[in-house]
Amino acid sequence: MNRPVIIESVFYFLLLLGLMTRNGDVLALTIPFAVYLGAGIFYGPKELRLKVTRILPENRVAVGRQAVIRINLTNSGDDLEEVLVEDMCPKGLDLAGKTPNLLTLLPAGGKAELEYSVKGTRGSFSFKGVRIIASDHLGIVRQRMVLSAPKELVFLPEIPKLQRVNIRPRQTHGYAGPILSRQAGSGLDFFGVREYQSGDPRNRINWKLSERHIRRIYTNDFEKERIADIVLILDARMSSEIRFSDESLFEYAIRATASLADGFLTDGNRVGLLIYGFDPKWTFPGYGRLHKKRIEKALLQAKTEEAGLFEHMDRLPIRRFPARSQVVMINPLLRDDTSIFTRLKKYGFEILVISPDPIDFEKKMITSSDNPGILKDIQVAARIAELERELRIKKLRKMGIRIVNWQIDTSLDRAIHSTMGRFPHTSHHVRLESSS
Amino acid sequence: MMRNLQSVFIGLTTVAVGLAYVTGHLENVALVVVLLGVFWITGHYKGWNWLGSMMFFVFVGFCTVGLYFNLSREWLFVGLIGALSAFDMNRFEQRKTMAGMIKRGHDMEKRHLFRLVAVIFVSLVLGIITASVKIKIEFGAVLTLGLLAVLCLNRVTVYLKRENKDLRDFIEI
Repeated sequence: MNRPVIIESVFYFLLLLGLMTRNGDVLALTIPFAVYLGAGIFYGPKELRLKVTRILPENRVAVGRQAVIRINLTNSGDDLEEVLVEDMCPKGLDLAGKTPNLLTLLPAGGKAELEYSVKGTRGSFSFKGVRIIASDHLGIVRQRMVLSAPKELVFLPEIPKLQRVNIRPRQTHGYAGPILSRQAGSGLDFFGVREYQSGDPRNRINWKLSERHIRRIYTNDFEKERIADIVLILDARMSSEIRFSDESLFEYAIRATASLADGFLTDGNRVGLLIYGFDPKWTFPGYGRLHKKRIEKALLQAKTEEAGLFEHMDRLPIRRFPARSQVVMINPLLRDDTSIFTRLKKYGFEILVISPDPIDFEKKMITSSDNPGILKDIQVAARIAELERELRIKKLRKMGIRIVNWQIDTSLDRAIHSTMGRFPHTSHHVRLESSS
Repeated sequence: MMRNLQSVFIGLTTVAVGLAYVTGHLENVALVVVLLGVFWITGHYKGWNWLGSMMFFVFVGFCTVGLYFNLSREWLFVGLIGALSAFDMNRFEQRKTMAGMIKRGHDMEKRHLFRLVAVIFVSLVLGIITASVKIKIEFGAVLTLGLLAVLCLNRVTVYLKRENKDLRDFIEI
């Protein structure tokens, strides 16, 4: 029960009692309450004329860091004896220390500032309004209002920068880029040798080979470097997620996807994103900074869910992908996931799988928990699962699929480049026309 | 300052109401009043916020009942003013705790106290005046005043409803 109601109730109770019992002394007891209520009504706020502005010094903050929220309140009306400013903080944000409330007095033309910090998990949070409760000093008369002060705060996962990932899709675009296009032309990588044609620059002549052939000169060909279409597929099925209190395998997958998208888009490629879960979310391939933001937004909203109809990777909407493009799948490689790779290969896609190791992740989490009794059993089970996973990876590699087995405690960059180094994908061949 | 002043008002209420019962030869009740007063002060220092409103009602009750036992109305009046002041300060402290962040808090406290002191002063003056005034009320006047009180109670109900509606609006927003 709030204060005016308590005071009013006591006042009327004593008044009625005094009148009913015709006791003047009891009636006299109502005097302090009447004066108290009267003072409140007399000095209470009449009309609120307030202006509120919300300032976010940074509206994109890394997860784990604190975001500062500042609210400025200006009173363009009468004196306000007590003002309670309550910011309607969106759900999911954790307050770091101070509450988002401020109690102050606000004279006519006066200003007040409320500043507090929040922490959040990955995602976008929209602030809507600020609640104001103004009252007199005794708190009898209250005026309430909600002022709109919308702003968006984004908590981004930390996105580690990657060195260039060497991919070789079957098809490239006409624009210059970093990807080897399987076509001869201007470039840096040696592609082949052909007979000299007038106009070829002299520094490209292969003198050693030309010496061995009478009256024939040969020119070195280099491989054209072009941009390509890349489709990133993030597995957001609940079955792919492993969560231990604050740690989540899916969060690592999101960071990896964001890093890859950032790297590919920075190189000028056309990148699309498919978040594969209950309702697969497709971000159409595009270029540039704006598209990077689009992908970022899609990744911010990504969450694991029971995939229902899309529980199996076989339902992947392949027809949406640009023909003969590079598919980069971020997937923990579950038992039933292997068949999709055969299909993708059949359609002419080049496949790279970044696979956050779920067994290693789970093993570390369980080992670190205090469960010594069953630790040995867990180790045996983990070993069996590891062997099964190794076999699966081996089988896929034999199919010509490049797989990065990423143990999340090592950096993604190191995992990618150590794997790519061990399995060279390109094979340069020399085409030599027989001399007649 | 507010905290200590609240204890002073609790003490004042206890002493005033206790004295009223002692002078009326109801020492046992006075002992209960003193024990309750000690409990109120203890609760106040322990930070039991719920106790403030409850003890306010209890002491208002003691004051009202005391009048029907023809106890000293001066002491009871002082006790009632003390209880009201302690209750007011308790609520003010609660508001400050709930707010978390307070700016110009010292200024606000000072102004609040001035207002409270003014209320106490006016109440005492009016109390003294009413003590010397005697009005005979006829049955008809009592009935009229009773009806007026009922109408006022109705206003309380309307107020309560409005408060709840405001809260609903807030929740919807």
